[in-house]
Amino acid sequence: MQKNSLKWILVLVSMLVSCQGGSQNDLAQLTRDQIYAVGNGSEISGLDPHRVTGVPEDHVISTLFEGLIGEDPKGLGLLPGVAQSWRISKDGKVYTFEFQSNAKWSNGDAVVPEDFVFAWKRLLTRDLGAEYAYLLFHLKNGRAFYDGSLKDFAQVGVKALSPQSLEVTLEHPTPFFLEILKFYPTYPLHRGSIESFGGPLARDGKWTQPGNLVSNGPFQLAQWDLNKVLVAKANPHYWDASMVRLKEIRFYPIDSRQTEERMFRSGALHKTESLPLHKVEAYRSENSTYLRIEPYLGIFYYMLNTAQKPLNDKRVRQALSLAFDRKGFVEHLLKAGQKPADSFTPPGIGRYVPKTQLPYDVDRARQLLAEAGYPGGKGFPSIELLYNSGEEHRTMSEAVQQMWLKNLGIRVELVNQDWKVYLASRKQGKYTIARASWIGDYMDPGTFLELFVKDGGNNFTGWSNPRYSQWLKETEVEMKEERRNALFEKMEALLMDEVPVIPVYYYTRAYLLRPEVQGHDPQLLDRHPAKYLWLKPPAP
Amino acid sequence: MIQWAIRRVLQGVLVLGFVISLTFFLIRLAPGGPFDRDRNLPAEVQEKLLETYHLDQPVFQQYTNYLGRILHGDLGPSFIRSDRSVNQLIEAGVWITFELGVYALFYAMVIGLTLGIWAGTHEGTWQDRLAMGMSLLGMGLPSFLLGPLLVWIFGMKLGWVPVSGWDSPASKILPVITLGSVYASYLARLMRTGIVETQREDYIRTARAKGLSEGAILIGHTLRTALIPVMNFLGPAAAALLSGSFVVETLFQIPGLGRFYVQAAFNRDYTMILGTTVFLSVLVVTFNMLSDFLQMAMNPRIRLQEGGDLS
Amino acid sequence: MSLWTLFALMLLAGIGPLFATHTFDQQSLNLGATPPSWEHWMGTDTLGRDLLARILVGARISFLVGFAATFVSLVIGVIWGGLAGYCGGKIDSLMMRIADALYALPFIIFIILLTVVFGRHLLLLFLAIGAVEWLTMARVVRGQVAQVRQAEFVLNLKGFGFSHFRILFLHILPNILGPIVAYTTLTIPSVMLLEAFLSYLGLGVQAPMSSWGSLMASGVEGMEEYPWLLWFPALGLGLTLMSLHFLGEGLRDYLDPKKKQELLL
Repeated sequence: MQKNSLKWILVLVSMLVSCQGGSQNDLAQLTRDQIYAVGNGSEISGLDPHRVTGVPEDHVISTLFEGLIGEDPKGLGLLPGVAQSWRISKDGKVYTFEFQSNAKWSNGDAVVPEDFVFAWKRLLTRDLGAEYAYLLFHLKNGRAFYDGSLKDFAQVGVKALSPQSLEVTLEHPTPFFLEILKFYPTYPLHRGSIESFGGPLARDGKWTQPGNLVSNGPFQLAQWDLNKVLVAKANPHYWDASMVRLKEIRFYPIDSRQTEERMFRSGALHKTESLPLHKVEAYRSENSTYLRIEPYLGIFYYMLNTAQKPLNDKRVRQALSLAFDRKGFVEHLLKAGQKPADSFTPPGIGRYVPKTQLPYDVDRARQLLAEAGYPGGKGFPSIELLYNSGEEHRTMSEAVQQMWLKNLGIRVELVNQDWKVYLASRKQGKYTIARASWIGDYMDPGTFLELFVKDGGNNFTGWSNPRYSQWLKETEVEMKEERRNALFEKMEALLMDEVPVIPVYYYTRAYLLRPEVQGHDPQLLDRHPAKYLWLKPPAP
Repeated sequence: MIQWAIRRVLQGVLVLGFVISLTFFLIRLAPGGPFDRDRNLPAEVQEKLLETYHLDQPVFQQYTNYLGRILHGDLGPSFIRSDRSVNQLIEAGVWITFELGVYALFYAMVIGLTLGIWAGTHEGTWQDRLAMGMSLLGMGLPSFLLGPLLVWIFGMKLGWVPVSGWDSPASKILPVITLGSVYASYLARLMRTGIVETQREDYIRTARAKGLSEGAILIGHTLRTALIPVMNFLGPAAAALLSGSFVVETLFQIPGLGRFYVQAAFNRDYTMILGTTVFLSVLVVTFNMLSDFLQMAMNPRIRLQEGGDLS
Repeated sequence: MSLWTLFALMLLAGIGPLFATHTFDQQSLNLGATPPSWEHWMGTDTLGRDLLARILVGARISFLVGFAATFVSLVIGVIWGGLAGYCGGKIDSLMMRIADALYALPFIIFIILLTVVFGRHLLLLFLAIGAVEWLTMARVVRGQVAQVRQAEFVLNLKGFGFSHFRILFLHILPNILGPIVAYTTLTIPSVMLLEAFLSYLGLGVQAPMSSWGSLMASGVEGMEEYPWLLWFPALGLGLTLMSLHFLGEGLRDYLDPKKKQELLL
């Protein structure tokens, strides 16, 4: 007892003495050492590229691994990755990739085409339960192998031609196939290490632990403390190692955005993952050099349950959309540079420019509502607006509620549900209007417009149209970019006329970034390959 | 005594069984499963996932399987953190939460008992009112308010301590204060009441009449009796500290068990919710039992009461 | 004194909204968040809504939750604790073990699960909070009843052949009303705090309604930019908690000067 209390007093005293310690990361020192400290949202659910989904996972995995095609830090092009060059056959179905001669794994092994065959086979193995398996359904026989009707993987469209080249055969000419190859589920895996830790289907994840994980990207895993920090160190065996200037990246999983912002302000981070709404305004009003606001390939929208009265009437849906003051919503409420939406697909994808307009026209809206039998909102049943819990979603929903009450005289009840309950309600069609968002996976209008095909896995609106579905099918085989874009435009126009969804604004990414960080350019998909980043200490 | 102890332990086991069963069926009632995401998975993938984690079996069979597994100490794989098992996750978080809880309890006892003794021995004076006012403030300030406030003052404005983390001793000060203050307030009140009441007892008066010094009476007699309700409070408080630390852990970015727990609840990570519940209830039940035993040892009179129902 | 403060606050909550020039959900996006002014005495929130109006409406909800949930816990607690204390023996032991088992449940998670399973109704909020709070109430009541049970007048009543039900509810309970009332008064503040905490977790009342808890929870987020959004609701809640607390302590001392420490638990 005596001894114990002595120990306690010592602990207390040492706590008090070290008060002057300041923050745990001395940012200037980190910058000089080329150590990049970055907030990374919620803790990643894992490092197995086939078993995870989500943005924080993408950030980590794409620094540890590399696919055939590299991400362009400035935008939209295709850069060499593991493949130094590629050829596409005339019919658009056969791709041949030539590998970098010195592409290596972090343990020094060469990266060979078989590594891709191994990884893709694993992704398409149904017993693994990979959520992104469908990305490779574009491969010839990919779906057949997955659902078990084809047992022999040799008939699937991927094969090693030589130790330096890989041939990929597709089911249809898929114009955005190279874009998919930038995405982490299609990256190669190191067969040897996976097999020595229980084989491709083992579920204990031993192979992804620090010390065990063998990766082929510019960085390798050094440390991974759950809910604390994940450290990646430069990989000396990387084929383009001379390009890589950062020595180390520290990913901090931070649940609370308030905490993250405070950490940044106290000098513990080079970059935050996000920024609370009201902080955006505060930083902007003081003209902070830290604040970054960049366009982002995503759309915020309200989905309407067209199977339910009164939303089964197209005129009511149109009225709701016309009475939506997108400009006011964006300028007075969000204030983070978002653009009011005029289409479902955000602008900026290649040469596809959506031509639809979504005007704010209260008179026309009232007229349509009256035609539908609810003049001035009279007799309009009380409808529910569903959103998932969260301070900002609540604020936005309250604004929408007020907008429709003021403009159309209709009453909307707000319903707030915990995220998983909200997902379940949406899926089972137990909602009338629900907030929603969609972020593009790759640069193609299809990643947005494919949502609304009949029986689409993410189409909860109950709306479908045979012409719409037909046009989408045509885009999958159409090789001419102009003709393909024309099809997308027709789909867009139909969608905006039928209004199963009310697009509100195109997303922006608002976050904080220290000026020391170099090579960090705006990019529509918000991917900032760590390979090109470096830190420049401020001039003394 | 031994018989009473055995009965108490058996009761504890029953309580555990009840808690596990209730939680098991309750989380199955919650809408949304572990594999529901913003983007829906193709039906065949979803099916496969359910099969992999045996979620396609009848619920009752899952339940018996689960009970069988925990008897072997295996809490199963985490559904969300696919690279880890629940045992590993608990192990990763529990020591930090434990450390946080121990410091907070220690802080609460030092501050709470000091304030309580001070107030109790100065009953009715301004010292008493000041101490009790502070304790009232501590009880009324929820941790989600106290935490950001402390960070803002001592972390941001004054820059004395880090705003987050659990590394350097300095980074541990604010979380400990945030977590411990409520308990310090309760302890202060308990202690004060105990002292005030004991001082009215006859034997204290006798001691005083004998001419013993106030200090000697306080240490030799009053504290002994006055500490009983405090001891009584410590068991449940220790348990509550362990299970209630997640707000503090989230605010200060501490990688403890509380955060895992809440993340699991929101993600519907069934095995992780259950595993942590099992783990925490074992702790709660044990702490309550220890607190009972301790009281028994300190105050033999209680033995006469049937069943030994002590709060 | 505390009684008067409390009374004034409740009066404000009751009739305040009738006199207010702004309604709690009237927005002005162009206005946004503004500090206190002549037009808006307590300023406005980010949607341009008058904070004073929202606090008054929030007071209603907070008091409603406070009283209703306490009532729920009172009813369950008195019945459970009364029966256990009155019957004694095996039944008492069993009933108190069940209460113990519920004590062992990690309650914060339990409440999260409850609200997640059954949705976000105000009624449910009462039930969930009441379900947590009745345990201690049951303990207090049980202790009291067990003491009175052996009193002479109870034994006499039994001799007259009154039913157990009648004895317990018509004769014993009125005799121990004092401690129960005192403890009830102390339960209200802890219920209100619990509601604030649930709001912080996003599990509180449905928007656009507000409670002090939910106002505070959103106030904390913008603590540095819009301090008034935090301080006014916190002040309201603080005042109420303190009044209730002193009221409860006063009542307790008045009604039963001996049993002190148990009530604090």
